[in-house]
Amino acid sequence: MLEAFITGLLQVFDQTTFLLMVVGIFLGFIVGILPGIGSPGAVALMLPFIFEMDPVQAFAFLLGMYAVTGTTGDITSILFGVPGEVVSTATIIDGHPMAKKGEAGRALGAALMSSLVGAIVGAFSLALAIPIVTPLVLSFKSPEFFSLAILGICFLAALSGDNKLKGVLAGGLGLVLSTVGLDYQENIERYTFGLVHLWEGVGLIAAAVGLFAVPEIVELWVKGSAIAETKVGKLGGVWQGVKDTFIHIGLTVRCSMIGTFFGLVPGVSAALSQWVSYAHAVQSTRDRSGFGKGDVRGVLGPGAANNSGIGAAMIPTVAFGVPGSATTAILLGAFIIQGLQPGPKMLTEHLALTFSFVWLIVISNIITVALCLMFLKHLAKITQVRGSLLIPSLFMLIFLAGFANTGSYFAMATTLVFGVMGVIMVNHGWPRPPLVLGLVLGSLVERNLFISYEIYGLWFLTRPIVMVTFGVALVVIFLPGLQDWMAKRAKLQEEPGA
Amino acid sequence: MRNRTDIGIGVLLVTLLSWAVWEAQGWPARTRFFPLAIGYPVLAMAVMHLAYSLWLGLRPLRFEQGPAAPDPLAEAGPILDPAVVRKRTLEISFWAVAFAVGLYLLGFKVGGLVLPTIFLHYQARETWVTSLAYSLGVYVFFKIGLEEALSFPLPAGQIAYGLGLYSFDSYLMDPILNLLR
Repeated sequence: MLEAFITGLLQVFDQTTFLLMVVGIFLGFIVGILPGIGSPGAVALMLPFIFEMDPVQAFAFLLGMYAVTGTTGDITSILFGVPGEVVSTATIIDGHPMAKKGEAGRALGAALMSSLVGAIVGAFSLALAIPIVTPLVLSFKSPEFFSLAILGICFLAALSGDNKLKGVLAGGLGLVLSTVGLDYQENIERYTFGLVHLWEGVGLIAAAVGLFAVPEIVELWVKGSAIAETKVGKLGGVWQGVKDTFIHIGLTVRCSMIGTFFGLVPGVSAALSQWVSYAHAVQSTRDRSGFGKGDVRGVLGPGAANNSGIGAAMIPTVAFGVPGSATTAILLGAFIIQGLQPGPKMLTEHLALTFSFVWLIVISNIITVALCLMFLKHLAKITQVRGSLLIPSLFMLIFLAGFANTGSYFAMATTLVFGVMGVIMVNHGWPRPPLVLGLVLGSLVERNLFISYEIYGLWFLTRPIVMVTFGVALVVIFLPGLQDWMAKRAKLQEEPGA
Repeated sequence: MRNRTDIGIGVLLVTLLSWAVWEAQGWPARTRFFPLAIGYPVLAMAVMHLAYSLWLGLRPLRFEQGPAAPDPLAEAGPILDPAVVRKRTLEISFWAVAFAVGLYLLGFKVGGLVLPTIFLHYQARETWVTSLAYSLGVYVFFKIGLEEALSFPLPAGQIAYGLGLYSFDSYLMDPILNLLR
């Protein structure tokens, strides 16, 4: 095994392979920084180019691209409040306020370095975890996947402060919206109003971009200033951001582990791991007052989780042919093109190739972070540009995002509709993240709920992991309120005459 | 004001979710399973939210609850006159729709050339030079960056299709690019 591990490393440093990886990184950088043009689309677009490559070269090209999209996706989240990738949305919560406070450099430094730590943790998990986690993943059935998705929504609802009802309701609305389109079992239209464009459901990218980016554009215009409300100065401390990663290394590694765990569970969105990591960052901190206003720990958590899932998502893909994410589902196509069969052979005959994936993810991320750190000054300066100059580009990008995802102009209407919803939600204290997560997880929840009910009836709710997961969900929702109530009660009892 | 809007949103949600649940009743069992399984609880929560909003509205003022906790992604900006905020919100909403319609009619490349120019010069009061240079950059990004480098298919827009043209710009740009190749 050690020999295969070293052979995998040497294969990456083959001249052509290395060059193709750099080309992939370059393309991934562009794709990641463009909101909405996600890694699945980019990898799919590049599949036709790998026919002439050998397997290591092909995966160097594709994994180089895939590995950096999450990292660079964080850049637009921080600088513009526009997620470059769906998996980069959680970075906005604290990253963008940091940019507005003139700490764009620090936020970017933290996001990049935590991404690198996450990538390394995730990649080596790919090497180490297969024999350990396989029984765990295999023990998960539909009821467990269903309960995990509900837990994810509850985590987000718990972040809605005093508005937990609004948070849960927004998550529920997301799930209801996810039912729009053709029912995959009976091919019957649901809530489509006869529109063919809605058969595929509500465009996720268009909806996410509308909900998150349009309110930012409106705010930018209403304020009439640049994204950064204060001068960046000497970039607001890139190295401080890098140092922050190591000051909070415990949090970074824990969030990397969360990203790794969610990454290796097939079908669970990488976006979920980012949000759960954010929730963990908040809940594991005593003084939470800075979160949502520009706390660097709110950047480190999602940043680490974002990239750690990449290596982890390869585990079920390589070992079982079960993709752990949308992009790995497309990478399965690359396996077929290359004449490779995911499964036991990848762990025996092609073990060196499998280990080369580990090295590719690590080396791609090191190169990306080094490049980003070199050019960060120029990237951060974008926040100083007048808002009115950014708005046309942002309009073009948000509409391109929806269009690129579906190839239909209808997505632009979806972006507008969700943009209006986003503005209303922001103005009236409704949290947007649970809505998006409900939309992301809707089909997964539906499929798993249906299968669970068909196989077990309502008894699926009594399965141990399901009970534990729902128990955690209830604690997450009700515990902070209960603590507040108990604290108030204790205070009242202390006050004489109260 | 906020409470009145909350009540309005609550009424809208209850209405929409009631319709969604009612609509699902007529579908086959498998099709309606999830919409109903999720629809009823969400409808119940919407009713709870509406009832809570109404209760807050009916409570005496001294018990008035403070503003709802903000969306973690939202934040308070500088304090502006509400009339100015309304005016600017309407302006930018108009431009959002204008960009969407413009891109639909002109496509991304020509739309990227025309729409930013108009916005920057007439709305943002930028100079013609800045507006045109900026728009040219947007066009180059779409034409060279996406269409040529990434082979990303960008439609020509409904006007070009209506006129039976391949695209507005390709008649000028393609010969130039062919020469450069």
